[in-house]
Amino acid sequence: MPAPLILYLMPTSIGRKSMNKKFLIFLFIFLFIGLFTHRALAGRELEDYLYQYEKYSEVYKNFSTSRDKFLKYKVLNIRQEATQVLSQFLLQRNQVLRTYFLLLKYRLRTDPGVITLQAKDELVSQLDKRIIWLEEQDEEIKKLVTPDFEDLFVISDRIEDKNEELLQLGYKSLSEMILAKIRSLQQESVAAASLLQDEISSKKTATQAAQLDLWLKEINVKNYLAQKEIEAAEINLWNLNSTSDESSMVTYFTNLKIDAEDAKIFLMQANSYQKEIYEQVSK
Amino acid sequence: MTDMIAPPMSGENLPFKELKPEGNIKAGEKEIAKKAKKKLYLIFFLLLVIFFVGGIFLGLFLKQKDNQAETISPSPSPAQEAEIAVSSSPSPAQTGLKGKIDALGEKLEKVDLKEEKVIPPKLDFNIRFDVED
Repeated sequence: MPAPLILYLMPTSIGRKSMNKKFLIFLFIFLFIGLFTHRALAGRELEDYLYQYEKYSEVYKNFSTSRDKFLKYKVLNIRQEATQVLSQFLLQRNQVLRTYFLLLKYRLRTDPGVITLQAKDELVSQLDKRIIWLEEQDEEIKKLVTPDFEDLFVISDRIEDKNEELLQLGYKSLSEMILAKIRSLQQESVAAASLLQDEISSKKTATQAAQLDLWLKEINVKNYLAQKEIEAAEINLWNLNSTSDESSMVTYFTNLKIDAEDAKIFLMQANSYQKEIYEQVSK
Repeated sequence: MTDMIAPPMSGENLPFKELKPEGNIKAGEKEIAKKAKKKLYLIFFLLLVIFFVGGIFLGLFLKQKDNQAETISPSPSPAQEAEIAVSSSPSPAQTGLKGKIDALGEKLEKVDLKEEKVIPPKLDFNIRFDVED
């Protein structure tokens, strides 16, 4: 946001001392505002998407009604009305997809967790590509001065042909986000176990340390089992990436979520043991 | 004689005050205009800042409400871990370790692995219908 303003101010302000002061004040205020408004407005993606999705339901209802009316009467007046509603429907459907991809992009960028930079960049670039493509389709619909059913169907077919691809992109992004969260928690649990190990060896007598070591092994087992569940989830992601069938995608995604939930259960057990050991150590 | 005794002066007969040179008047006007301009800038910035700060707080409040259940802080860096593990004084290390374990427990309870709100939307991708009779 401040960049165009800076460029606008630059030629008029540089060179004079007083103007330079003003320029610096402008710069400071706009950078400050830009930084904070970006942070504040960043979370609106979810609301935007949910709003557009809700609006889509309304538009879809209108479209169904006008289509049924047209199919029943087939008169010119109703035909014209139906094409207009169809055009609105196509625009709204694109809008839902666009806001959805924007939401995924935002989440991929801001969600903390362990996701490789390469995977993140790849997904963000794919999402960007699709967002731009959907905008182009919108432009084409808007360009039609007197659209006919066939014109709109042709554009719609293009989008419908990419349905699976768009769906896969959504599931893939979500899967990466879920995996990133659970990986991050598993790593934290492993780190906490290692710190507990240090505490045990530095604080307790040999007998106590041996007993607590046994307990610690339980934590390591739970962390290991969580790791195995994460690996199973990663296999589901791999399968999801290699299918184009919608129902298979849903199945792999559901399995991935189950694996992640199982990993979470193991980590919760590990965490409760960690708390118990810590109490013993600090006695 | 009559010339020597001057009558008491009425307001009308008072000598005209000498006017200041035109340049000085212009300079004064400029100064006033400058001050007014400054005031205007100040009010404008003040309003701008109030407007944005209000918006920021509102945005942050709504954002916090939305993402309350989804926040996970990044995993500790190796440097931080080493610092705690190597620390010679026992109390800060213990507080750090306890804090870490408790924080992990909280995160595990709060983490949303279902992402129900953001699953791909169900849209109608089969809208063709028979237009001709």
